[in-house]
Amino acid sequence: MTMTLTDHPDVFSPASGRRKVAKLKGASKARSDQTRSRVILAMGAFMLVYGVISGRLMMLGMTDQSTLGGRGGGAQAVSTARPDIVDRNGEILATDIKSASLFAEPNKIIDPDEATELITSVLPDLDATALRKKLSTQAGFVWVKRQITPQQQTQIHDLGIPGVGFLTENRRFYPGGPAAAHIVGLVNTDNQGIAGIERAIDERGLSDLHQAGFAVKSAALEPVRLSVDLRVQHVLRDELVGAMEKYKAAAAMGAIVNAKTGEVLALASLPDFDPNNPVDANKPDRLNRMTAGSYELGSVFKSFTFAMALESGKVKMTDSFDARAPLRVGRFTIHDSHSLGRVLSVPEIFQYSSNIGTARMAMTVGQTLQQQYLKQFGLATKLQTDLPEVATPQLPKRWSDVTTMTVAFGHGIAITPMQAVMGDVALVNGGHLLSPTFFPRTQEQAFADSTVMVSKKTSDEMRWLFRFNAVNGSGRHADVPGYVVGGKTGTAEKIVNGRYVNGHYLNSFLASFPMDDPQYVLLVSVDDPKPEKPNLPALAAWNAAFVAGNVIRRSAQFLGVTPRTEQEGHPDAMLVSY
Amino acid sequence: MMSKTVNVVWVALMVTGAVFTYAMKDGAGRAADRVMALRADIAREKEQLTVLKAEWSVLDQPARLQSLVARYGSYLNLQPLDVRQLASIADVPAKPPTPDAGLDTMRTATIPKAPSSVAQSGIQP
Repeated sequence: MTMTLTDHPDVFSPASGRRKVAKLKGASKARSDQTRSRVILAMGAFMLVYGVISGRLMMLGMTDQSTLGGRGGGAQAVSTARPDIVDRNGEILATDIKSASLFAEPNKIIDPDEATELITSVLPDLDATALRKKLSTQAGFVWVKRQITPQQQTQIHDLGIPGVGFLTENRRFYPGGPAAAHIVGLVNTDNQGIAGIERAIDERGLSDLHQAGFAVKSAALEPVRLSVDLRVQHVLRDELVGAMEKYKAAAAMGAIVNAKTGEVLALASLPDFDPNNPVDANKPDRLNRMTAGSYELGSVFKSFTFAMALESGKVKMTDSFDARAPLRVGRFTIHDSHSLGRVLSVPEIFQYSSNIGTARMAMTVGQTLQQQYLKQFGLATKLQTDLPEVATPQLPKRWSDVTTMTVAFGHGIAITPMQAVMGDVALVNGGHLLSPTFFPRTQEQAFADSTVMVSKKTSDEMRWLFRFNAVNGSGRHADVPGYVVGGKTGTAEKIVNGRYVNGHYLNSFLASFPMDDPQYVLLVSVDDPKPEKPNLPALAAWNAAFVAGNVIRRSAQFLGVTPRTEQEGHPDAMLVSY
Repeated sequence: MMSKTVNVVWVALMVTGAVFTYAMKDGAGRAADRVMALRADIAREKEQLTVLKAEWSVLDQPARLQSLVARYGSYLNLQPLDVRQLASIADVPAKPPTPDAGLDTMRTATIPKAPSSVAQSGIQP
C-alpha cells in the first residue's frame, strides 16, 4: 500500500502545489532533489521496519506449536519417565502410571500453622512438627508428600490452601508384585533404577538421556522386552514357595535357562519382596541368591568333575574306580554317604554320587588341569550377565591334593548358582559356554559369543550320564514321563561359623530336559529343608528333586517342549546321536 | 473524479482484505484450539490406556488365575493337563470307515469309543 501511494505522489498532491513547483522549478532544483532523496530514505526505513515485522510473523507462523508447549511440560514430568518392561509374550512386568505429588511454596504461604493443620488433616501420617518447620521458611519450593492418591488430591485441593500445589509425576507400578522381583528390580522415588533390570536399563544410557533433558514422555520410549516368560516364572516361584512351606526351609532359589540361547526364562530367589512396596528389599536375606550369592553346591559340582575327567581323555566311561574304603589324605578322610563297598564304574559313581570315586577321578585329572578346566568352565571368574548384582566365586586360596579332592565333589569352592546353571547349559548343548542374558537372543547370536567348554563327545556322554541318573539314580523323583528329564542332585552341608554342620544342608537339583535334545536347564535349590515326614531323609533327592519335577511338569508345555515316547526317553536313546 | 473512484476502490479493497484476514485468523485460532483440545484428549486416552493395560495385567497374573482355579476348580470340574493328553495332529488316526448308510444306530454307537482310541494311540502311556 505504501509503495503504491509513493509511486504516484501526484494523486494526493493538491493542484496548486504543482503550479508552485512549476514556478520555482529553476530556482529550487537543488532543494527538490534533496526532498526527493529524503522521501526515498524515509520510504526505505519504513519498508525495512515492515519487512522485519512481516518476516518475524512468518517465522512464528512456521514454528511447530508442540515445541512451544514444551515450556510448560517440565512440570508434567518431574519423576522421569521409564520404558515399560514386558516379558517375552508382551505381558507387562513394570509400567509407569501418573500420580500427583503435593508441593508447597513456603514464601507464598500466609499462615504456616493453619496450612500444616489442614494438610495433616488429610495426610495424618505426616509429621506435623517437621512440616510446620518446613513451611515456616522462605524457600521457594518444598515437597510435602510424593505420590498421593487421587482422593487425597481432591481433598487438599478443596481445602484451598494458598501456596500449595500439585505436580503430576510418574510412578512405577509392578502388576505382578513379587512375581519377578529379583529380575525386574525396583526404582527409587525419583524413578531411577536401583536394582535388577531397572538399574541395567539406566546403566545402558537412559539416565544420560534424562540428564540431557530428553525422553520425558513414556509414549516416546519403546518397551523393553525381556526373555522371561511370566507363566514359567510364576510356576517356578509358586513351586519354590510351596517347597519353603512344605520343608520349612530357610530359603529357596531356582532358575530356568534356555540351553541353546542362554536366555533366562525364569529366576526366583526366596524370600523376596514386593517392588510396589519395597520396605524390606534391602534386608540381607532378600538378595538375589542366584547371581549375588555364592554357595557350596555339593554333589551338583560332580557334573563338572566328570566333564573335565572325560574331556581330558584320562578317564573313559568304561573305567572303574575303587570306592571300597574311605579315602585318607593326611588328616582328612573322605566318606561316601551310602557306601557300596565295591569297585564302581564311572556311571555308577555318578548314579550313587560317590565322593570317593569322584575324588579319585579328580586325582587322575590332576591339580593343575583341574584349575585350568575350572577357568575354562567359567566357574573361576565372575559371571557376565545383564543384572548388576553379581557375586565373585570363592575359590580355595591354596591348592593341595585335599583341595583337589574336595573341590571335585563341590566342597571348598563356592560359586553362584547361576554359574552352575550356565556350566550345565554348556554340558548339554554340545559344549558351548554362554553368558546368561535377560534379553531375547537367537541361537546364532548366542553361539557367536560363546566359548568352547567341552567337546561334543563329552557333552553327549554327560547327557547320557544325566539321563541315566534320572532313570536309575538320585534323580528318579524329578523324572516327568514324556519330558525325558536328566540331572544331578546335590546335598551340601552348610557352613556355619566356618564349620560344616551336620543335619543342615543346601539341597540342589540341576536338571535339563528333554535329554535327547536338551532345550532347557533348570536349577532348584532349597536351603536347610527339614524332612517332609519324620522318617524320610532330608536329602536333595527327597525335596529339591520333587520340586524340580513339579516345575518341569507344569512349565514344559509353556516352554513348548513336545512330549517324547517312553522308548525315546531311554538313556541309551541318548547315544543314538553319536 | 477519477482519483475519487480509485480511492473508493482502494478503501473497499482494504476493508475486504481486513475482513478476510480477520476471518482467516479467527478460523486458524479455532483450529489451533481444536488441535490443542484433541491433543489433550489423546494424552488423556493414552494415560487411560496405560492404566487399563496395567489393570489387565494385574487381572491376568498367573498367581491370581491360579487362586481362582483353586477356588472354583471343583465347581467347574477343572483338572491339570496331563502330559499324555498332548499330541500333534499327525498322531490322530485317520477317521474310521463309516458303515453303510441307514444304520444310524450303529454309527452313534461308535462315537463314545472314538476319543479313547485317539488317546491310546496318540502316545503310549
